[in-house]
Amino acid sequence: MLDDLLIEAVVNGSVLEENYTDISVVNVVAGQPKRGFFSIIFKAFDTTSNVEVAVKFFSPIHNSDTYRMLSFEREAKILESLKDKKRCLQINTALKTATLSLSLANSHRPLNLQVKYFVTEWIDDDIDEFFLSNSSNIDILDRLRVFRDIVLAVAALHRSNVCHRDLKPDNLRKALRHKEKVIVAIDLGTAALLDSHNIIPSYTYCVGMIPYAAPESKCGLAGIRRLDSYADIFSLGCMFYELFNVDYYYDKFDNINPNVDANVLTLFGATIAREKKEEDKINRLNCLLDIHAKGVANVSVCGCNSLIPSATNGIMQELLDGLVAFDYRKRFNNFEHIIRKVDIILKVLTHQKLYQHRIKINNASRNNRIAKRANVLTDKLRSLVAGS
Amino acid sequence: MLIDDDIPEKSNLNLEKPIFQVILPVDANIPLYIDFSPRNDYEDGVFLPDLNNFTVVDKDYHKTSNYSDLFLSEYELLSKKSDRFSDSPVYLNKMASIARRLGKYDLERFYIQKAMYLVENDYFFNKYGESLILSGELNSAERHFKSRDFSENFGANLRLAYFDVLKGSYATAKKYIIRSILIQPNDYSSYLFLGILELITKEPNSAIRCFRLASELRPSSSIAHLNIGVAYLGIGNREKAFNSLKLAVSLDPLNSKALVLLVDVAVSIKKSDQVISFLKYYLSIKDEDVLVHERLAQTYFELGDCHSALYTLKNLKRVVGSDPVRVWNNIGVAYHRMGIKHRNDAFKSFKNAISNGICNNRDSLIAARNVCIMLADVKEYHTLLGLTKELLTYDVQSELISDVQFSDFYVFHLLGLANLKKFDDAVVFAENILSIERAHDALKIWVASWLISHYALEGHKHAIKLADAFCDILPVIDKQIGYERMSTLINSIVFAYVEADCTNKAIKLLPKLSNYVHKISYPTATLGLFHLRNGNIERGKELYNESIRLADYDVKDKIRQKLNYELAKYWFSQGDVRNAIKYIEKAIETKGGVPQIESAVKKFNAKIIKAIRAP
Repeated sequence: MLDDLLIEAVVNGSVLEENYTDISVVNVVAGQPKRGFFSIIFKAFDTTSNVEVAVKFFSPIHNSDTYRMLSFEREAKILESLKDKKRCLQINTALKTATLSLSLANSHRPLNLQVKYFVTEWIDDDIDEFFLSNSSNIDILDRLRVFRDIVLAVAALHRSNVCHRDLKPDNLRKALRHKEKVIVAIDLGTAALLDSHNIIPSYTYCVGMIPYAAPESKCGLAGIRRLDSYADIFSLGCMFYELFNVDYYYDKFDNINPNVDANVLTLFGATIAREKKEEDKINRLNCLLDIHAKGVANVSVCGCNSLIPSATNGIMQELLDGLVAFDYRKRFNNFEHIIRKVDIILKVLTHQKLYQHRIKINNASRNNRIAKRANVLTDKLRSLVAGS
Repeated sequence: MLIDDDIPEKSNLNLEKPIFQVILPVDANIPLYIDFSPRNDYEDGVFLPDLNNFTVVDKDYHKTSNYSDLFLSEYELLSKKSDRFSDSPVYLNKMASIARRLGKYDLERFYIQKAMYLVENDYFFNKYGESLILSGELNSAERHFKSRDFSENFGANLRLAYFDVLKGSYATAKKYIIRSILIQPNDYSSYLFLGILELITKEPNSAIRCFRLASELRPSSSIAHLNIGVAYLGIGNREKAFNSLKLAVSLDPLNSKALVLLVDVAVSIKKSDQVISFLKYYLSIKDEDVLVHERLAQTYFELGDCHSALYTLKNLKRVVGSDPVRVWNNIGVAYHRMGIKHRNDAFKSFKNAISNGICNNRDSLIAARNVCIMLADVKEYHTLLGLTKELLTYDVQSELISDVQFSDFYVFHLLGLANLKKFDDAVVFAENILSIERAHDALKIWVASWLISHYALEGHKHAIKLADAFCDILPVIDKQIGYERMSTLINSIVFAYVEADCTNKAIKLLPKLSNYVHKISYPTATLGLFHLRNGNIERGKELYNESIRLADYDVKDKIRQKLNYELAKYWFSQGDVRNAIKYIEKAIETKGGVPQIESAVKKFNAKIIKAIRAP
C-alpha cells in the first residue's frame, strides 16, 4: 500500500525535484508481489544534465527493517566511492531524503513520511542475448570477449575494495564510456566494502542468487568479508560456463554431486555455526574443506550441446576449474591471471578462425583456378571442334 | 579334548545390521538403489551381503529445492524476458530448469516442448522423458523414450535400462547399457550401471572391473568405491573390500553406509585402529546416527578401550531416548568386559535390556544370552541352569533351537549340567538335541563335539560311532559352519579316534586338524596327544606346551594334567616306573582338572602302586 502511494507520488512529480521529468516505475508492477525487492526503481529524465537516470527509493514498507535500510545506505556510499571509475556504475545524486505526504481520511493535516533515495546513471543495454539467446546466433569469440569484459568490470570493483556479492547476467549492463561500450555491474544492493563490518552478525542464506552463489556462502559465511571476493570469482565461473552451455552451472554441479547442496553444505553450516569468532569459523571451514573437497567432482566445461571447440577444451576446463573450485582457497584470486587465460583462448580461437578462413580462401581460389583452366580447355576444344 | 569351558564367545554386542546398498546414479535426480540383504550367518564378526537376495529401491530422491523462494524470484525475473527470447531454446531450457527446481514438472515439460519445436536434439528429448519420470509417470516416460530411434541416443539407452531394472529384466537392461557404452565410451554412469547389473546377475568379478572403470573416469566418486567394496564383500574378499570402503569414506566422510560397512570389515580383519578417526569425525558432524555410534563403541571394544566404549554408549542412550533395549545390552557388554568389579553394573544393564524389551523379542534374547555368557564366565552354574531351564521351557515352537544365535541357550544348559557334574542328565539332554530335526546345525555340531569328547574320555564305545557319523557328513557341513565350531568338531573326532587308538582314522583327518594347530589350544593339544600315542614324545611334549601357551588361564591346568597323565602312561609302558611316578604325581597334584581325567589318573596311580608292590 505504502509502496503504491510512493510510486503514485513519485510518478506525479510530487516527491522528486522539478528537474526530473518523464518518471516511470521500472521494477514493480502494480498489484503484483514484490518478491525480493526492497527498493523501488524509477526511470526519469534529468533536465539539468540532459540524461536519463535511475532513481532508487528505499521501499517505505521496509522502513522498520534495519538491515535492509542500512544495506540501502551502504549501496549509496559504495557508489560514491566508485565515482569516475570507468567500469563502474556512476552515481549522479548521493543519498537524499524526500518527503512523501500522505493525506489521511480523518485528518486535515497530511502525514509526512521520510523516504530515502539516490540517483544513478540509467543503463538499459543488457547482455542477456549472450546468456539467453539461441547458442548458434553469437560467435564464440564474441562470447569470450564479453566474458573478458565482465571480468574487467568485477576487477574494477575489487580494485576499489568493493565486492558485488550478487553477480549474475541480469546485474550486468553495457555502458557507453568515451564512445566505448564497457560492461559495468549494476544493483550494488548487496555489495560490501572489503574493510567494512557486517550489518548483521550471522547469515543463514547466501546473499546472491542461488545459481551463482558460492558454496561457502550457502553455509552461513556470506557475511565474512575475507571470503566475499572468492564468492564473486565463483559467480564469474558460473557465468563463464553458461556462456558456452545451455544449462546453469548450478544444475550441472548438482547433478553430478547430488549430496553436496542437499547434505554436505547444510552440515557445514551447522558445524560452522557452533563457532563464535570469524577466525574460528574460517578455520572450521578450512578443516571441512580439507576433508570433503576431494570427494567433489568437477563439472566438465563441455556440457550437452556445448559450443566449445576441442582445441580450447583443456584451457577452458582449466579456467572453469579455477573459477568455480569447491574449495575457495583453490580459486583464482588474481584477475590478471584470469584475463591472461581468456586472452590465450581468444588467441587460439582467432588463429583457428583465421586458419579456417585462409583454408576457405585457398580452396575458393583453387576452385576458381580449376574452373578457369577448365573454361580455357573447353574454349580450346570448342574452337578445335569448330575448326574441324 | 575338553570343551566344558568352551563357552560360545565373549558377551555379544547387539548391532543393527548394515545396509548393503549400491547406488546407481542414472542421474542424480533419479537414482536407483540396490539393497542386498545380509547373509543369515554372522560370520566371524562381519555381516556379508547375500548377492542372491536383493531389492531394487526406486526412491523419490528429487525434492523441491531448499531455496524455492529464491528460485521463484529468478523465475519471475526470467519470465519478464519471454518477449525477447521465447524463440530461444537456451532461454526455454533455463525456464524449464527453474520450473523443475520449483517442482512444477508440467510447466517444465511445457518449456521443453516449446524448445523441441525449435530444435530437434536428444538433449531436450531426454529432458522431457526425465521430467515424466520425476512426476511419477513412468509408463509415459518409457513410451516417450521408445517413441524415437534411440540407437544413437546415449541418455535414452540409459533410461530404458533403468525401466528394465525396475521391471526385473536385467538381461535387456544390460543390452541397453552396452549400447550406451558403445555410443559414449567414456561415461561414468554407464560403467557404474553395468557393474551393478553384473553384480545382481552374480558376476561379482566382472562387476568389480566395471566399477573400477567408473572410478577411473570419476576419481572423486565415493559411490564407485562403495560399490567395489560391496562387490568384494560379496565374494568374501575382506582385505580388498576394506581398502575400497576406506577410499569411499575418505572421499565422502558422511557416507554412513560405507562407514558402517568399513567398520564391520575392519573389526573382522583386526584393523579397527584405522577407522576410529572416521567414526569420530562423522559423529562430530552428525551425532544422531545410531548405527555409527554403535560401531564406534564396537571399535573401542576391539581396541580394548572399554571405558571409551561405555562413554560412547551412554551418549547413544541420550540420542536414542526412551526404551533403548539394544543400548542397554551394549552398555552391559561394556561393563562385563571391564572386569569383575563392574559385574553388578553389567547385570543391571542386561536386566534393563530384558525388561525394556518385548518378551522373547530378539533384542531381549540377545541380552539374556549375554547374561548366560556372564554366568558361565563366573562359573555360577546353578543360576545359569535355572535361567536356561526357564528359557527352554518357552521354546515350544522351536524358535530358539533353530536359530543360529539363540540355540546357544541349549549349549549353556549343557555346559551347566556338565560343570555341575550331572553327566547322565547332560548325555540324555545332548542325545535328545541330536535327534531334533529342527535343531540348528551349529548347535548340533557343538553338542556332537561335546558328546564325542565326553564318550571318548569315558572310554565309551559310542564315541567312535558318533565320530564316524559326523566324519561322514564333514564335507557337507564344512562350508556352512563357522571356524570355531568346525575346529571343535574336527578336534573332538580326532581326539576320540586317538583315545580309541584308531590311528588310521585319525591320520585321515590330520590335514583338516592342521588348519587349527598352532592357532587354537585344543587342536594343538590333540595333535600332541597323537604324537605321544605314537611314541613321538618330544614332538608331543612340544605341541602340548604350545597348547598350554595358547590356552586361557583356567584351561592351562587341565591340559597340563592330561599331558602328565599321558607321559606317565608312556613311561610306564616303557618300564620306566620312576618317570611314570614322577608324572602321575604331577597329574595328581594338578587342581581344577577334568573330572573324567582326574578319576583316570587316580586309577592309573593305583595301577602303578600295584605294579611296584607286586613281587
